[in-house]
Amino acid sequence: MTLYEDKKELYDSIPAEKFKLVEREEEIHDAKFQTKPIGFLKDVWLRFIKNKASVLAAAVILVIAFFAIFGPGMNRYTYDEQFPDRVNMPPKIPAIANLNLGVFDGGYVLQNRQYDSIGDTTKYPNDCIINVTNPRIVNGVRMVDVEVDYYKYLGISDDDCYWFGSDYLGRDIWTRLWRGARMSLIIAVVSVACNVVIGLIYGSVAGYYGGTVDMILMRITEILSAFPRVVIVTLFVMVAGTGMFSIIMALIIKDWVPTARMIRSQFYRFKGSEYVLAARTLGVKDLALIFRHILPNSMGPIITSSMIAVPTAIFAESFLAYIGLGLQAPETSIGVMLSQGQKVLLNYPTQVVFPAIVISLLMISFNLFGNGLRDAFDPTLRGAE
Amino acid sequence: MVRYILNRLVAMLITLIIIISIAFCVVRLMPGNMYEQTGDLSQTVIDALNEKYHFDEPMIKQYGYYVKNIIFDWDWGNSAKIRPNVPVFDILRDRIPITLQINLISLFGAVPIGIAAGILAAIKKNTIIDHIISFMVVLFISIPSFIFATCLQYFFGFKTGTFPIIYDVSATGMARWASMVLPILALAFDPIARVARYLRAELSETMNSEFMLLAKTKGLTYAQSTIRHGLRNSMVPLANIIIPMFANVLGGSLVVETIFSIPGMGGLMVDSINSSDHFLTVAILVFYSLISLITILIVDLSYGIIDPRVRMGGKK
Amino acid sequence: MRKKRLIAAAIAAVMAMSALAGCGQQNTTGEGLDFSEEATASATEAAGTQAEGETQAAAEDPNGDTPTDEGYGILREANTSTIGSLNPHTYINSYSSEQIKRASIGLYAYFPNEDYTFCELSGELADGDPEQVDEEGKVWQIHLKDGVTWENGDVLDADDVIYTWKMILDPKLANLRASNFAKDVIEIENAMNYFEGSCSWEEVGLKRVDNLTVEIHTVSMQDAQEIKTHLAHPANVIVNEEYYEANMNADRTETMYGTSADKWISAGPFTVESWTNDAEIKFKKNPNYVYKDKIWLAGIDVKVVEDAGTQMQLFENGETDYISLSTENYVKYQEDPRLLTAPYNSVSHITINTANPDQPILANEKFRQALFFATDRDSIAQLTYQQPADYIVPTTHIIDLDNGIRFRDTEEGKANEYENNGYDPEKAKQLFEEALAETGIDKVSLTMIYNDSGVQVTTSEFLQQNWPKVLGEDKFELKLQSMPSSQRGDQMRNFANDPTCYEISWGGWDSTDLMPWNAFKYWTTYYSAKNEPFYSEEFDTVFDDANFGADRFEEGVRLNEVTEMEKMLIEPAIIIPVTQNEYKYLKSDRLELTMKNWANRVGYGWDYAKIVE
Repeated sequence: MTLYEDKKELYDSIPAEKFKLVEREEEIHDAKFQTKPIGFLKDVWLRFIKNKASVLAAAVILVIAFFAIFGPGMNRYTYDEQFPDRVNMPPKIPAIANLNLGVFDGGYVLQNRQYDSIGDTTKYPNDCIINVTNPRIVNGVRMVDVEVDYYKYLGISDDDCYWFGSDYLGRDIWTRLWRGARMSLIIAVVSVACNVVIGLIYGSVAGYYGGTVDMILMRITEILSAFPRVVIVTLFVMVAGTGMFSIIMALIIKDWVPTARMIRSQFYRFKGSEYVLAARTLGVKDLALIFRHILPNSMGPIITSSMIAVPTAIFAESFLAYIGLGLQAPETSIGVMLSQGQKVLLNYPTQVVFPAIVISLLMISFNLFGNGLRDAFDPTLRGAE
Repeated sequence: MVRYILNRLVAMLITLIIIISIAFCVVRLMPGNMYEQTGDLSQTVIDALNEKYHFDEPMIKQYGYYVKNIIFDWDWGNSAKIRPNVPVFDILRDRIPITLQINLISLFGAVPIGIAAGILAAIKKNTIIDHIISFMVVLFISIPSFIFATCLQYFFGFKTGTFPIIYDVSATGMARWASMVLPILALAFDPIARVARYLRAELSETMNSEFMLLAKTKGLTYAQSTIRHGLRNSMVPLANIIIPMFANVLGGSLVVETIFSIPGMGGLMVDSINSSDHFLTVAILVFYSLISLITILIVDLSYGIIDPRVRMGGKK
Repeated sequence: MRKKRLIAAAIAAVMAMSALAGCGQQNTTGEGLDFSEEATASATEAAGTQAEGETQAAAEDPNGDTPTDEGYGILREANTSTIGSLNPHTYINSYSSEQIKRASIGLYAYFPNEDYTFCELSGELADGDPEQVDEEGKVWQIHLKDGVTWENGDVLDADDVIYTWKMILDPKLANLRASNFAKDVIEIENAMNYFEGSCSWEEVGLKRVDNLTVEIHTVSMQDAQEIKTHLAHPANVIVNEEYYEANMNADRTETMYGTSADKWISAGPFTVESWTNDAEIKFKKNPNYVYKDKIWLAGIDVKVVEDAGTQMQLFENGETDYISLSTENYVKYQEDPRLLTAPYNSVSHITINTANPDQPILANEKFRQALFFATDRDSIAQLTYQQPADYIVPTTHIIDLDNGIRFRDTEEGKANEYENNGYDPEKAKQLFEEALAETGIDKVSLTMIYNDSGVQVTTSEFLQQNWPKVLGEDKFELKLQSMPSSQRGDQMRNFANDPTCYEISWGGWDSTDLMPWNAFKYWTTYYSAKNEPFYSEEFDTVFDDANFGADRFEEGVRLNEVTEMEKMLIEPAIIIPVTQNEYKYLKSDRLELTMKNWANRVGYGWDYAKIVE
């Protein structure tokens, strides 16, 4: 019983002239959008730049990449030039030293010095002493800690500055740091790229086909992942010697397995979904189903994890360096610098701090960047804003 | 399900046998003769030792002896370098409990904290709380563990003397627990950060699904819907992260164990490879693979338990 | 969250520390500093223990005048190495052998001499020197002390000695340390034949005469000193039959003896109180030890601490009594009055694979000499805080034991050294050019394999830059390839099967410092674990004459022969000596050394030290 039927006579009694067509003059509001359709990538881009943190992270990555390319050329040292008389120098940047902040001024505390030799100008030349602290008597000898301007202490002219200090062979840490960052990034990006490609294909096949194929493929990954990286890298070192190739191979051989496994689990999650069933009913081929319909769902986790995998690969490389399977000297990497710095962490903390800051920045940036990308790529978030 | 598990167990056994075989060959092919670099040994003695352990025979025969000893006597060989003459599994047996104790305590503390932090970050996404947690998480992941460990040791062990500098194996009671605090802390950062990061990512993805919208329209509060519906869906990838963590604790951490002088599993692999202690290396490899196989099995099974939509083993 | 903040604060603190922030008021001259006891005590925790030590020293010595049966005070050590096994027949590293010596008795041993200035090789279980029985000096009798017991009170006599020898040479056990009976300082009749299974035990020249006498038959003429040296080797300490047998497997192919505290029994200065493998071992003074009156300590706690930074913190915190300093930590303490140094008993040198067909230039003598003279040892020594060495016999080696004359102090020894520690860039350049001309090679590119740890890294990387600088960067290049030490050793020693296995590498032999002539065995033709393909009949002749020749005990013969052997290796630059390293110790005041100085074999005599507290 509609409203019209209820009061039929009443409505019918309204004269026809009283009615007019509303659409005639006024604008129609439910018309089609007049804007151009946005492509998927453009949409991703638009959504990505809205995320301030990710944009900042991308900028940091670009800055580090910039320094990794141009940093080693910025001062007059080279990454492998040694100065045996200037080892373990503290950092000094003239512009900052002049501000008297107490940092980057070439100051260093010489611990456990004999008090009686403080006046000795052959030992402490040119008024290099900044401060004398911590007086004590050890075995009847008066001992102090002497804070000195290390550059004056060694009699180095004011023009010579190690911005980030120097290492155990007097090599400039600034130059080595960026050179190392370059090598680490190359190692990481190459290995991660390989891992993603291998993992993607392998995981898709295993996850999509399931059953026996899955069973066999997964057993192979189990065998691979059972071997610790140390064993694999030792084998490659035996065949090809230490160096970039061995390290990249060591980071590839088993590291694609988690990606493959993740993709596989994503397939298990989505392949039973209604929309996949629908697509299959419509006669979509296997390959198209894998790459067109199921895989895009997994892009979010893949992008996040591969972005995080880049700094993780740098960490893995530094572990190899820690156990003595790093790059061939004098080549350096963040890992090599960290493992060398670890040995002197309490003596020359700056030798660890700078590479640690770079690796941390890379980690943070790649994380945030990855998160931003994931949100941008997520099809369910499309047009959510 | 039972059939699936049985299938998997059989497959696991086959995999394990393949792993043992490959491990044996790989280790025996690695450079480093067991007895040559011990130094001042005469050739007569080296020959006698090679004969005793059949190293002078072809690889396939050596493998035969190895398998035979395992099957008939359950003899996996003796260590040659790390602890001469001691059966390899005795070495593992001495080291595993120590590693296990420290790592498990650390994980049981870390995982709930990580989950809490992850949920908080996801619920309060893009607020200051989320940013603080995310920053902390990234800090924990991004600073190398040896720096954390060394700093903990330096400040809380050496400077303030709050806790012992190194792990004390012979202490009993409170003193022993006190000496475990710093390594436990040092080990906890990484799992906290990893769990929190994954949970946040997964949860915020789940939050955008239709069923979450439904849950909200049903009248559930934001927190209720997240915990009752969101969390369970996010558990699938999280299980992928957490279960291997529990398995990896048996591997120990080389860096933390070195810094705090813990006689655990951490350095054993590297030590045994570096000193060419072949039987020990194979035993450790087998042990690690067994753990990793069990882990994978549990992870796979957990899909079905946590996420009812996943059906294991079925064809497409 | 609070925990996280705390940690964040810690990180911030590290960052701040790293920035080397200056603090408070400045005192650039050091004037007006308060060095009083109170100020000292409160200055740092590390110094705190010092002050305590000082005040205590004035008080009564708790040790008394002579050592008691229990001893006084525990010596606390930390070491990077682990003890794999206490079984003297299978131990691997020299560190284990030091610990074995602590908890077992040998026939002879090195002790500090009476005034604690030098070492003395004398009988431990043996009563006096070996007695020569025959005319030729091939049969020797050793008398044992009466009434020596194991820690559990069981009697230790000739049967135990014979059992020990029989077991170390047992063909079925095939013990690693049986090689101690191969031809070296002395050679026992048929010992290795028995080991190989080609003769019976009765034919071996190790016999029991009576309860307290054993007899040794050697292949060639020896003197008492040589017999004693052989028997003082840690592999020859006495094992306990009961325990050894109880831990033997059914096939008698392996024994678990000495692999844990309950599988070990001591008759030495200390007993093993507890032992957690790879972590800690606790020794306790053995009141049944023959020379218990030489031991002041009540016990020794040895911890395994791999990390140098951790070791340093333990020492500064007063948890260990002495520490062996890493290079970085040495820099921090180089002016500390508590610093002690001790020379390494080996010279770190570069070995050359002269027979490598890929690098024919390595066979060229002038090229090797060029490398020798191009090595800037002073700069290396300055970088690594070690001693430069252009010689092969280390400074520790003593050529004349009676007068305690070191080989390096003799005229002949000094004549083997070069000026400027063998660094002569011009001569090197000239030799290099000549070598290039002789071989017709225009550019040399060598690969050096090295261990990725310690001094070797610094030295190798230094040479990588320094050699090309001296020899011409367009003509010489050095590549580096690091590898773990065991793999490097194996790769090097494989040169007989694979001549291209390495080009240049590192070596350093630790040998008997009281017999420099024996230390050259590593370059003889018949040595089994040679590092480099150096085969010289001439060299072997001199070596045999110095070690086994009939005239070897005459004055000056060995000195000349050692000089000659060193010359034969250095002049054609078969190896290139680089540094002789140094141990650097820091000792707490709680520990008082009885040794007046460092001495061969006994070092600073930590075991004989006193705890004063």
